[in-house]
Amino acid sequence: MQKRCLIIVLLFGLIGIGTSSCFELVETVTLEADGSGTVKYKFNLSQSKMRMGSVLLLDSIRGYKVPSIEEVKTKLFELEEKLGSKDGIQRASVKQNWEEYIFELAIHFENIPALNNALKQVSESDKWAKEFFFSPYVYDGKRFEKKSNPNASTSITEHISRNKDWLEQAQYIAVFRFSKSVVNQTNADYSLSKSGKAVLFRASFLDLVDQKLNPKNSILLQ
Amino acid sequence: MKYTYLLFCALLGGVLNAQELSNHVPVLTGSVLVVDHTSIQNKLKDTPLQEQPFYEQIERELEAVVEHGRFRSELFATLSILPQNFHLSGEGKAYWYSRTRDSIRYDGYLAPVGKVDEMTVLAHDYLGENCINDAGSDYRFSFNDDNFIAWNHEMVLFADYRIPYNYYASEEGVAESLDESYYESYEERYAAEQEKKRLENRSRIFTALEEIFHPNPSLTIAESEEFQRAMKGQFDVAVYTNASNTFNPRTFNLLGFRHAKDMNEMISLFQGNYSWSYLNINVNDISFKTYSHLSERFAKKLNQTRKGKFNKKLFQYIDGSNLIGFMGLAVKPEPMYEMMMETYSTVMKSIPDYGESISNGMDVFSILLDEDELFEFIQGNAIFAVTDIKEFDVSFTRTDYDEEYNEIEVTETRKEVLPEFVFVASIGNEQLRNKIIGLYESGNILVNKGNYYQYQPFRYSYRRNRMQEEVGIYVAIKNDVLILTNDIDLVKTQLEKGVPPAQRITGSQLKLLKKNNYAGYWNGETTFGKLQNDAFGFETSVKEAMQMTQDLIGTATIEGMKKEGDLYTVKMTLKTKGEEGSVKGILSLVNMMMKTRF
Repeated sequence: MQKRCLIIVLLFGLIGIGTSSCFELVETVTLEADGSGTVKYKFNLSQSKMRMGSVLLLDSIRGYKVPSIEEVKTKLFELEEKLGSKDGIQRASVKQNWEEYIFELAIHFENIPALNNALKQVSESDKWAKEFFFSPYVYDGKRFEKKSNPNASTSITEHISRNKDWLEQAQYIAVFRFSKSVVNQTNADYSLSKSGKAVLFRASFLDLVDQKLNPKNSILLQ
Repeated sequence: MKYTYLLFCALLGGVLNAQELSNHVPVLTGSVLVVDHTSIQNKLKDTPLQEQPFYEQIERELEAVVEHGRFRSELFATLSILPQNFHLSGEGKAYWYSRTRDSIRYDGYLAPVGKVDEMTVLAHDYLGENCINDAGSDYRFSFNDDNFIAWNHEMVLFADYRIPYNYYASEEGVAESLDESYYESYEERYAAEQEKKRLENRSRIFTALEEIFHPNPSLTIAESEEFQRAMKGQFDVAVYTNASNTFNPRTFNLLGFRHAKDMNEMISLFQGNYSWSYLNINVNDISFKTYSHLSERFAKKLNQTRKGKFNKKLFQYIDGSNLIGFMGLAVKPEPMYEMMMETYSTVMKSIPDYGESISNGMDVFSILLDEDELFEFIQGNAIFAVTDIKEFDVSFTRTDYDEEYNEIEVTETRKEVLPEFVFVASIGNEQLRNKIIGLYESGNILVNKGNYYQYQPFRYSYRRNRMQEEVGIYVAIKNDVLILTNDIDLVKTQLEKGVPPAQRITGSQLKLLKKNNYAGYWNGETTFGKLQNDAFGFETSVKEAMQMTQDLIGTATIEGMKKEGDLYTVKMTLKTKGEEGSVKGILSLVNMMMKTRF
């Protein structure tokens, strides 16, 4: 949830499509047995790409400033630089596809605490993101936990609630992939892959905002 | 009795003249925006802005200006619609202009004063408590580091000023000043420097104000015959531009071209070129008409370009059944080209360092160019039309997963409401055009589809299957007409005979194209109707605003260039609908837009 905030903070202007939006936010964690791994956040606006061109011509929409392409590129570059330089982060990279409006941030980490710490430090440099920070993952060698945002009732939720029509067709997807098999998990809304080594959660943004669904989960591994 | 009558006339003349301030506006201002307060106030008398819901927002913005003790020239727009809020008389004409002197540059708004006794307080409100008050022989003024306000019993000037870097000083002339004063502390020195700066600013502002309050009559815009001519018509707002005042060494210096040279030819090129525009908000329409006077040198060429006409074959490819709008241009290309080359080449010559090289390059280019070949190919008449707003299939990428939840990129299509457009232009020279098409084809930019070509963006040159799913842009040439469109039916099934005659543009739209060199048309009602019908998913308040716009806006047209005596005119008209009239309608629309935060 925290990274979702981070991405939303970064690209909030781009969400301002003015009409009901179609976008996907995909959070993928691949965790190795030693606790290292990769986390990817993909923000896919491809379904709204025809309108994005028009939106980017505007200064603001519904009171939200629309960033220029250069501003978004600079922010993403800064994010890549900052995350990549944190202790315990092997590499951070950003992929930008401006034809399809798909943006992907990948962070290769040595362990979960290092990842949480890097995200915390980066969030602290942004006054808005700072407000929503929480440690999103916990891993003790046996159990992987995905936390949900305890600050979700604060202003970001207010922003989202005020603009619910933007989120009508927006989707959030989480995939957690492990080197060991999953023994059990606490959230029944996650489905298990055929091999039992990955779980998937899919929800509409509206269901998350209305708290009908929650991505929080605790997964016990073999 | 005779003397009483004469005295009365003299006094009345004095009062009326007092409202006319053009004899205080320096003639060297390149452009002047003239606001007719009387006319605007008249039109707003039944719908005072103070009673409009959005007035609160204006007040908030004014409070923010007061809070910062500094304003920008954007404030002048508020002055023009709410003059009484600034103790202006709200009658007569106000002048919004930019003045560049060697010592000071400023944007000024000069208007007849209303409550002169309130001006000191107002100046303090807008310039902050620390502003400095001063006076000339028969006027007072207050200033801070960014703005000054000056007034007497006749007028008031609001100005946003900058002290320019001295471009004109020669290097030898800039002597380093050595301050030999002794200061006990940094603070003391800082205060002394500030005082020195204030005195310098005061003296520069004073010079600018003397030009306004004690002008040399022959150096004011009122004495300009061109300006007097521009002021003869009726308007709410007028913009007057004198090209010979705009294209001069000072402007070039402002643009960063230092030491612009050999300006005589350029000044002579623009000598006699001036224009003005009238904006009028009438009961059932809003019109913007531009009048241009051109020197003989330009006029001769322009008359030749105006001989161009639209090729009738273009009309048969424009579907008028759901027409949103069009823009068309029909000129003789050769004199147009010559006029542009002559203008740019002359302007370039005056730009130091690289300008002369570019000018020479342009001359060489003209010599090498086979003009006959080129102008047989480009025939100078073209129309861009948006013929509908409708659903198209658009591809997009979404994320899916296999049974192991490995990510798969899936390409699908969805319906998206987009404008349908067509660009048509007359072209000749079959040999040359075939050569050009052949080059694009061999470069895989155009894909041959039989009678027409499909444009292939570079990114799809290695993913042809994706291109099929994308909204296509098609190119065809038929009957010496180049057609560019995203309407597949037009190039696939209607290419031979064009759009069925019953669907073609007719009536007033066709007349616009036949009677003008520059023609434009927009149907606001159809545009907003289509946007609403196609269910974009707008929230209710936005839909309401669109409905209101649909109810208010009729059609817009552009007609030009007409010749009226020695003037060339272009007129834009936006027809409004509804019983409220355009002023009330626009105010309601602004209120709705502010409400929806759109």
